[in-house]
Amino acid sequence: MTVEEIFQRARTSALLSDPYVKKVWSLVHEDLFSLPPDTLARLRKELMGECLRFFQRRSPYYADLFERTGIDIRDPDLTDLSHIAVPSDMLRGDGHRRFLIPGVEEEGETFSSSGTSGRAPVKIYRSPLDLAIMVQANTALFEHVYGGSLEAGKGIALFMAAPELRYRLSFVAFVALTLESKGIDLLYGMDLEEGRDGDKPWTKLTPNTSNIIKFLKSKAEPKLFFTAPAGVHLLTKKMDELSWGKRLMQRLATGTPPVKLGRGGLIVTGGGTKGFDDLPPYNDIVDNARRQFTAQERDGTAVPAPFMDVLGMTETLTALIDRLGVMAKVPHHLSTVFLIDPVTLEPLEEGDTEGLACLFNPFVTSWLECFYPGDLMTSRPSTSFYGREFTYQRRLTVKEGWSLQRACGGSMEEMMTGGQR
Amino acid sequence: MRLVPWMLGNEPETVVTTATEVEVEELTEGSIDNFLSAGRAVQAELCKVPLAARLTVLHQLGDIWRARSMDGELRGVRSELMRSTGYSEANMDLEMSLVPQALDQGSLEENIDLSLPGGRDSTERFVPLGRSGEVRHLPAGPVLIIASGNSIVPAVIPTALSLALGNCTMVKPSMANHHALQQVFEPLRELAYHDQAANLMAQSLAVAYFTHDSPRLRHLLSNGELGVVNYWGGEPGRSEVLVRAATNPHHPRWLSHGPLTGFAIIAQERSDDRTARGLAENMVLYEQQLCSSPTLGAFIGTKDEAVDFASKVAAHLQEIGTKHATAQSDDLGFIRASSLRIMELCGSTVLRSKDGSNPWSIAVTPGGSVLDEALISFPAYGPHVRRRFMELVVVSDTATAVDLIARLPGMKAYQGVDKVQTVGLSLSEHQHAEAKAALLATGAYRLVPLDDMYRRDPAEPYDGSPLASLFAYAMYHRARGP
Repeated sequence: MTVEEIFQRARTSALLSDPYVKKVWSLVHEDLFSLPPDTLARLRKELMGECLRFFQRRSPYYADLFERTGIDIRDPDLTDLSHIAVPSDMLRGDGHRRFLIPGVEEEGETFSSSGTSGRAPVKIYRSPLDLAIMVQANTALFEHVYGGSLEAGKGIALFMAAPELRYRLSFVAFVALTLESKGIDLLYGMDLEEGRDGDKPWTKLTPNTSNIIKFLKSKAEPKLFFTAPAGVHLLTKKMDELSWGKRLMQRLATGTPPVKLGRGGLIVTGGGTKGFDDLPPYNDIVDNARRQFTAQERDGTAVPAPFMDVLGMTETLTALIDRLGVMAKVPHHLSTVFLIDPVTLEPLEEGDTEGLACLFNPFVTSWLECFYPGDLMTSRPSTSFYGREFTYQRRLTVKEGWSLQRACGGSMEEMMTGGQR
Repeated sequence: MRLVPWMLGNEPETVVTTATEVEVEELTEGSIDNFLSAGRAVQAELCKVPLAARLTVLHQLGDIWRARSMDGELRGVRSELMRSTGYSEANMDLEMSLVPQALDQGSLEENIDLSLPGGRDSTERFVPLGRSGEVRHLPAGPVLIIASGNSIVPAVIPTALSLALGNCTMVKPSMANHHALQQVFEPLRELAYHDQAANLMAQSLAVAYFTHDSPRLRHLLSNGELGVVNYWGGEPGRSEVLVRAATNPHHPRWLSHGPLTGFAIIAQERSDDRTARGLAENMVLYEQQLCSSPTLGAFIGTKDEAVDFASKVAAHLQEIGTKHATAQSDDLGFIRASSLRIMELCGSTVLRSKDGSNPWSIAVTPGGSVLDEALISFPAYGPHVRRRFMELVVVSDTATAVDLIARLPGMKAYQGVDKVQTVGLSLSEHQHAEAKAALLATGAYRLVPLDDMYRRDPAEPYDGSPLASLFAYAMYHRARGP
């Protein structure tokens, strides 16, 4: 589906006749980032109750669940949410199906995790209305963290992913749809190769040199480079190791290194470090990369290449995004993100304590999107719109009971090693 | 830590090896062969000693154990077992108090009487059998007992019976119960000075650990002059031991006791507070690691009635469990909490404790078990991890309850468990009779009152067969034709 088709279908969704859905549809189209954090917190609390009551009306499953678990749908709080949060591991295979409301709108898209753990991947169905909300909400959050609107029709983006992943990985889909809605050219830096080894089918990702060179040579501004941390690390390393002669030849052919991202240019990472044990710390990757990537403010002032990192999972409609040196990870202003105790699954007092991130997205209309993906995070108070910022610590290990890997990262980083790892 | 074999007399020749940071002194192939070949001669001597004298020695071992426990001499053994099993202090005290019962002369006599045609007299002389024959029971050993890992009593029971029946007996304990088991039989050294039966029994016994992949253990199983191999435990050890024993040229008898579990059936009519307490006690004792521990249950009634009953059980679990404080790692805490969450999301009403030192939980599920749903996402929530946990499946009749028992071995949640050993019943008279008939088709071994599932009568067969008959063979004699 094109972004236009998605919005067309969303606008005709029967669910929009429900006052709650109508409200969230309207809210995601408003720019609320300038509201005081307290006002936004109150709005989130209000949506929490309305959302639960919406699902209670729409689904016998949720009505029964709330009753059994003693959820106070008149005035729910974080404790109530923590009592119905779904462990993401439960969403493998057809696990998501039980949570969908009866008569969920069809003709949407299904995204899945990489499945690199050898078990069935997490699969999440997104209705056209949810897809439209995904594009709208993520674009708003992205632009807020980016520091301004992406100008329509300006610039070029390179995504180190294969085009086929647009229909499989939610992170790729949201980036592709956002850029499409802005009319920004998106080049895919990888190709998906398929083959058979006897009876066993295989796929692997190989670099699309032509698209990468096209991006490097382009004079368009800004240049947006989307990649896994390993992608930018390997590219930096490759450029660092060029001999004098080869560097000259590459400069003649592509105009790089350094890669000039231009005014408003930036590097967006996502997917974590899965599959790479020897990857340097994120800050070192950034420091090294800034030798080979340059950027400017919109007014033309030279700045170290900006880095944004996206924490997304297949099961979340909106991501948490940070901008290095400016703000730690923040969720969409309508999402409720809080930390829970890994042993009791109860909300933790707000403080520096490490806890499991629990995400609640009240604007998702097909299922009650409240889950914990097995990511340990810390949070701290902030003056940003959200009132708090989050720092990713690590994903729980298999020994700790968690076998699900970071979602997009698996596939995105596999491509950097040609699927060899 | 170093595991050293226990044998009477000169120190046997050993080889030192290591297993998970533990040093193990293993008997050499020569030591094994010497012990077993001498064992046959000792068996013959031991048979000449009256059974009563042998049982007296075992009884004395029980008395000594009790006295040593009271004097605090066994504190080290107790702490070691607590560390290795994770059982509470109260549970360990119960376990230690049961050792003298396993060695009780009266109980062993009753067991032998009921296990061998001709009773205990047949171990000393020919006794009439049938119309014109007679039978005498003789030691089938040398016996190799590969004992289960969790506690002392399951290892003491077969060892005591084997020795009582005059067998040369080699016990391979687990790392966890190695030291404790040696301590049970250690007083034989002292008794051996002035008691002939004790002396011969001490000569007949070896308690020796071998690592799982030990070439010495392979030799013992494949070539040792064995008459009986009795294995307690699950896979893959069971199959490996069986394959080796099957190729042993001495053709030992073989009996394995695999991992089993317990199942509770409660009818609404009999779901009073006493039943709830009984269920709670059986859930806390041994952390549900016994083959008789109730780990899954069926409630015949409505969902609301089942939740009411579960609340009563919960209150008792809270009280009893507090007295049996345990420790739960954060990893297990997360697995447990998430597994319970999945069950809740799949339709269960879950009652749970948030206290890590008493982590009980009960899930009431209408319409069929959802425990496997949790296992799909958290495979680590297996039978050894599920402690103080019960899923009560709400059913409408006895037949459906019994059907759950038949289906249990196929559940993901019971991977590694052979089947249901014990069914604890709390039913009306009519339902009880109905269940008793229906349970004949399930392969269960014990049907007992719910509040009494862990208690074993001396007369009871072990997992469907009389254990004493494994350790003795019958010689039949008939002087003339009919």
